[in-house]
Amino acid sequence: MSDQPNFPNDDRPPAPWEQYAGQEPPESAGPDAAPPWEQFAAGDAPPSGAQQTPDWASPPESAPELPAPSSAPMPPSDEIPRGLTGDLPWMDYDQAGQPGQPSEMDDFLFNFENDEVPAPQEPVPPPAPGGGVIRRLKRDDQPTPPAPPPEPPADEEWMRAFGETAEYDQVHLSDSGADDLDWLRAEAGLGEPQASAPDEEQPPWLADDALGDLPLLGADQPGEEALPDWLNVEPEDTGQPAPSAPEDEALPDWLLQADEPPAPEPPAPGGVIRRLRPRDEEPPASMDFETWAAQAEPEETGSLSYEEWEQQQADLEREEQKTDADRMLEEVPDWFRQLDQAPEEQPPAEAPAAPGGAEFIPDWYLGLEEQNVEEAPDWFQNLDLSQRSITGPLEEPAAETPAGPEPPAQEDLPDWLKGIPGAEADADWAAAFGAPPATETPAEVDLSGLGWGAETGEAAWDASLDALPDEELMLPDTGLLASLEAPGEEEPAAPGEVPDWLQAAAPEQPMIARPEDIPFPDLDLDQEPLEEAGTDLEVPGELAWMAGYAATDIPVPTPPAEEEPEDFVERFEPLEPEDFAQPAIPAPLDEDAPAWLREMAADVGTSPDLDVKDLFGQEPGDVEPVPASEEREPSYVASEEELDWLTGLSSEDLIINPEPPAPAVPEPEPEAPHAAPAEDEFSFDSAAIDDLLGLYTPPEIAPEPEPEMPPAEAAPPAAEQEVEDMSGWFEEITGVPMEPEGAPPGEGVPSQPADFEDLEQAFAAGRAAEADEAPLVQSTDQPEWLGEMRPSGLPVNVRAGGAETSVPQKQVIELPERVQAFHHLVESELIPPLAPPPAPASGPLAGIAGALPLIELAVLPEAIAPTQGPVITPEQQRRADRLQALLGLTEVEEDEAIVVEDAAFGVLATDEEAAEPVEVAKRPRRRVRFKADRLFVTLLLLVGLIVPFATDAVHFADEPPALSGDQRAVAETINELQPGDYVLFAFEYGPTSAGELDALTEAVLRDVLVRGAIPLALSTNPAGALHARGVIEPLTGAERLLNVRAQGESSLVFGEDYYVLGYLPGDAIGVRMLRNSYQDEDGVPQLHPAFNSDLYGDETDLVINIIEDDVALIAVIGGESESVRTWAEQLNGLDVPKIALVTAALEPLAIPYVEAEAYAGYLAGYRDAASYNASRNANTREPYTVPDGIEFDVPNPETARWHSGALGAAIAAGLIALGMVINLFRGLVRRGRR
Amino acid sequence: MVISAGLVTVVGLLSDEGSAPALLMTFTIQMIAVVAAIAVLIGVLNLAAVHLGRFAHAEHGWPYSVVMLFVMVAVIVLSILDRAEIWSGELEGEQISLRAFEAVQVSLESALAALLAFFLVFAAYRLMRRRVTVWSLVFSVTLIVVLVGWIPFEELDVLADVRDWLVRVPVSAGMRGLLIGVGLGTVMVGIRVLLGQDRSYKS
Repeated sequence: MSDQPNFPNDDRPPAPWEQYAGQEPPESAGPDAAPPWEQFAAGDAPPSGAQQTPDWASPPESAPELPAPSSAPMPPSDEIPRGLTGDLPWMDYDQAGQPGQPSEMDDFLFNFENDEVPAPQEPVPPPAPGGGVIRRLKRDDQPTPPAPPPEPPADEEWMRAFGETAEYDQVHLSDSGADDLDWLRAEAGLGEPQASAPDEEQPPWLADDALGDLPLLGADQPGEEALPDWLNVEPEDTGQPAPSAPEDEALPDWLLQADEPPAPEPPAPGGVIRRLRPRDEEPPASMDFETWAAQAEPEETGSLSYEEWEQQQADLEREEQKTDADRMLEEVPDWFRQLDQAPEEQPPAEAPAAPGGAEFIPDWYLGLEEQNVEEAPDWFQNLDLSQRSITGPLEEPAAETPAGPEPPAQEDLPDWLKGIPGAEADADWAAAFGAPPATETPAEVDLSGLGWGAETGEAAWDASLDALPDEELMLPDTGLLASLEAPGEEEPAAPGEVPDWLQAAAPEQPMIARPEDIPFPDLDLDQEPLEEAGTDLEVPGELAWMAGYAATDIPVPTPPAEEEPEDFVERFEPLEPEDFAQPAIPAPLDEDAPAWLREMAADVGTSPDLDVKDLFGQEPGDVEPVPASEEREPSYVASEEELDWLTGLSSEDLIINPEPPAPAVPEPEPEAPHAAPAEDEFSFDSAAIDDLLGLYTPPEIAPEPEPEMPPAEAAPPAAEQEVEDMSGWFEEITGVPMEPEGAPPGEGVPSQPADFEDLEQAFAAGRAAEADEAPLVQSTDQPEWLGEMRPSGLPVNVRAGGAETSVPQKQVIELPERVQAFHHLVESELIPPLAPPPAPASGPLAGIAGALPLIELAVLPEAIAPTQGPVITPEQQRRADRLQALLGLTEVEEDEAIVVEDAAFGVLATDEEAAEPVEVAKRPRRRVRFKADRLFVTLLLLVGLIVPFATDAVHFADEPPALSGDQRAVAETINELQPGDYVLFAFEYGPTSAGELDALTEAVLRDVLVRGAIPLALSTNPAGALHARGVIEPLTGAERLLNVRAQGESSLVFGEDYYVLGYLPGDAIGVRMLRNSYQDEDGVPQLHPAFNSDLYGDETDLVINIIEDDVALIAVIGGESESVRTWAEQLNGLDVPKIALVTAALEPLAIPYVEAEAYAGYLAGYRDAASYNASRNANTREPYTVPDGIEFDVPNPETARWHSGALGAAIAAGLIALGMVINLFRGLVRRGRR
Repeated sequence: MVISAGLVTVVGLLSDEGSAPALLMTFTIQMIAVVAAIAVLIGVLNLAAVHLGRFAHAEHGWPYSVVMLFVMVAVIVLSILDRAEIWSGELEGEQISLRAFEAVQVSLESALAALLAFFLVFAAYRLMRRRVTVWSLVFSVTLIVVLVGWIPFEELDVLADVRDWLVRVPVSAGMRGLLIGVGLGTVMVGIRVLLGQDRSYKS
């Protein structure tokens, strides 16, 4: 095969990898055979012989397998036959001195690695001159001599896994020229090349599900039916490190799996496309990484080696994708290693991913997909990339993003692409290649940059094919060409090598059955042209550590469209996006470069394996050497300017121990699932990052140094030193950004998978070399233990109310100025100066510095100064004065009451009480204000009540009125009494009501006694029972009464003429008991218990069994409403007449009970008593005679009392009326004033 | 136990007189009366104990406790002497205890009750001192009418009639309403006690 004629620039010197263009896949490639790169890793000699085209690639009938299965991602651009790259159009561009653009294939492959589906959501710019994969693929359709691939060195296993060795050799396009289209047709199932395609001809990475686990090829993506079959390879067992060989005989094995449905894995959100765009170049397997990174200088493509070319591509990528996502490179987020744990959490992306969306994959990760799975760490081998994007939370693809690409400019299209009918969305590209009609359209395939809109139709296609160089037409992958049938879709098919660890990442990913269902890989056609991308990419100083990586295959992520608030990328906010736009070529470390970076550079410089200048372009002596024992100690003397950039970085982010002998990563828990591997060289391992970032939870309260300090850390300082460190740290945080103390150079470097072990070892070796000779440089900015305990870059878990949230921290300098001021103020308050107390001058501790001073325990009250009391404003004082003025009158009254109380108490107060110490100062007594009105009312009323007893001159009231109404009913009821009848008098009043009710009771008793009835005094009130006899006793010797009785009695006899029965307990119950009748067993009535004994406990001879039969009248004398009500209610319905003798106040209460079954009538107050006496007892009362010895006329007390009451009532009414008038007038006056 | 006693009482009240429930109710009431009498005795003893304690510990106001104890003992002694009929001479046949009660207790309480008239009058006099409202005017006028109507003046019989009307109609109506409310409250309390919802006896 002649490849040179097919290249547009035949005069370009062949790239070093072009010798692999004709590499034939190993014969042993099969389902169980190890992939070629593994063979290379094992030291097998790569297929040598430049210009040798493998059988599966060179002849069209051999159906050379394109190194991109259906569901598998497209291999990186560098996996495209290298022999074709020498004279490709993009190579022309490279020859012009501009770095090449990363290929779309690389993008796709990288997206595949990140479990994302490329989404052509944005208008795709014209393809870059050097990045057009399609061009190269087209060239493969033509007979193109394979370029001899470079000889991979045997000591670069993982680097070869990046596709620089075997897979490229096997995947390189056929040089059969235009005849290669036959195998394309055969691949579609129409030609015999399918059957003739031997298994060994298929690249191992295409043999089985090596790429089948690529989740980017979602079957539900639009336009998947137009995808070629080779893209529909369904992944199988991913646990196999080596891809399995195809099984179908009719078709190439790698195509047989295309019949399987595409992976149901929804496409990842779009924004990853640009970020995850792989590079066209990768670090060559034949050279050291450092060397390769150092050589990543833009050169002309023709004279460049493949590594150099890749470096150029990387530079372009960085130039194009200026984003802060590179900050992620310094650490691996937590979610990264949790991908295999919760793959379902990743929301499926329904729409194609929008370029420029969320970007989470650091550049250093790019290219790892080609590493050997065996060399990958365990955690990475177990990653399930099919279920979840390794980039963590990604943005949902923008729905409004057009799925179809926009036609690029014609001048940007390769010649052979111009006029391709695929510009039309409905173009049947599969049919053009003889592929069966697509049954399912895989995920979106961004072919917008391919210029599909230019021309369509087979004629145009043929014309374009004719215009293509032979090398591009030699592309032996019909699937790739078939993928062109799906314009606007991105095909992640990778051209070959898929690492085993990637296979394991999607063990259950269903394969895409048909080639046309395979989405076209993300060709990253939306990238900026090279002219726009610029060439002078610079790597910031702090990112120089990954300059070497970036120079290989690290696609520079684009600026994230919108980051998640909690994304760890935000921790790197201080890093400006332009920092990531630095050229991949390591630039000299300036002052802004972090110390650890310079230290790392120094380490590299001192390392026997690495040349720091090659890597970073800086001499090792520019940085401070750090001893190995102080890896976690501040390993440099950094200025504040140097520390500024670290404000956004947490100390823990940078805590990675590159010390070779001791694991630098602190292991929080021995049983931590992400514990560091047993190897010593794992400072960049994921376990370390996990421990640092994922598992670490910053303490909410400043705790003590955690026990899981790295073993290599310096010995914990003494207590004094800690105090000093603390103080210094607090002082530092007030104005100086926190320095990642304890973070030696390289600790800020995010954890790297084990694939970088060699680099780590080199770094570690450098450190070990300097450990002995480098002086200890310890920074006092912050104690390292404190920095570890309080990683400022990590979010703080805040728990409140059962809820927990993670709040990202910010450095002091990141805070607003006012917040910073507040921060300083608070710290100044919380951190008092630690001034040692002066040595006491006397006492046992005299002269001892630091002795605690004596404290005066006895504090005199006088010595107590008034503390800060409430500050009263003048307005408040005025209000208080008003309140006090309002309360003045009330206080005067209270004072009067206090005076009376004190006076009363003073009479009985003892000396002891008087001697009691007065704890509370007595309130100063105010002068008792003389209240004339009160005295006037009292005196006037008192005179009106007394004067009638002194003289009858004021007897102005008429005689008591005659009984009427209910009062008359009482008299009539008493008239019914017969001599000897028992009249029950319920004395339900006490001495309080005696003045009013005694007269009333006497009147009724007199009437009852006159009639010969026998009163029975009973009371439920003990005082009433005693008072009853006092009421009755005066009547016992009344002569007129006895005369009226006409019974020849000298006096009434207790227990014969009247009875005082005593106390009736039980209140209402006792009253109720009066209704009961008592009989013996023979039916003979028994004495009622209530009438069995008198007041003194003597038995009575009363024969009362039943009140209803033996009692003629019940007179309830009630001074309270309760008694009146109780008797009326409890004896309601009893066939015994009842009358009520109540006070004037209870008259309204007695009225309701005046009814047939209750009271027959009532008498109320003295007025009724006077009326009753006047009406009924006039003849039984003694006439009034002036007592002896009194010479002046004294009115009859009975009459005087009557008039006294009348006068008193009149005076009371007059006083009340006077007060009413006066107050009413005053009120009117006040109202008038207002 | 309280509920059962209440139920027994209720059933006995609803039963015919002489029936078993009625007899059981009667027995229950008697027991309650006895318990109440014993409660009075216990109360007296408790009162004496409390004041003895205050006197023994010289607590605040212990002189009042001494007075109380002295009076209590004096009344008991007088009652015993009255029962013994040791009085002779002019006091023969007298109940000194009753005289003491009448002379002290009744006089004091009557005097205190008499002071109420002065306070009430003065309060009514200053009723509108703070604020003059319609209701205060109504109250004052009504009070004046009742007082003046109580006075038997022939010329003011109209006021006496007005007073009688006020007492029998509006005041009695209000009192009836209060009594109805009291009755309803009593029923509710009884129900609550029977249902065990009201256990004031536990306090």
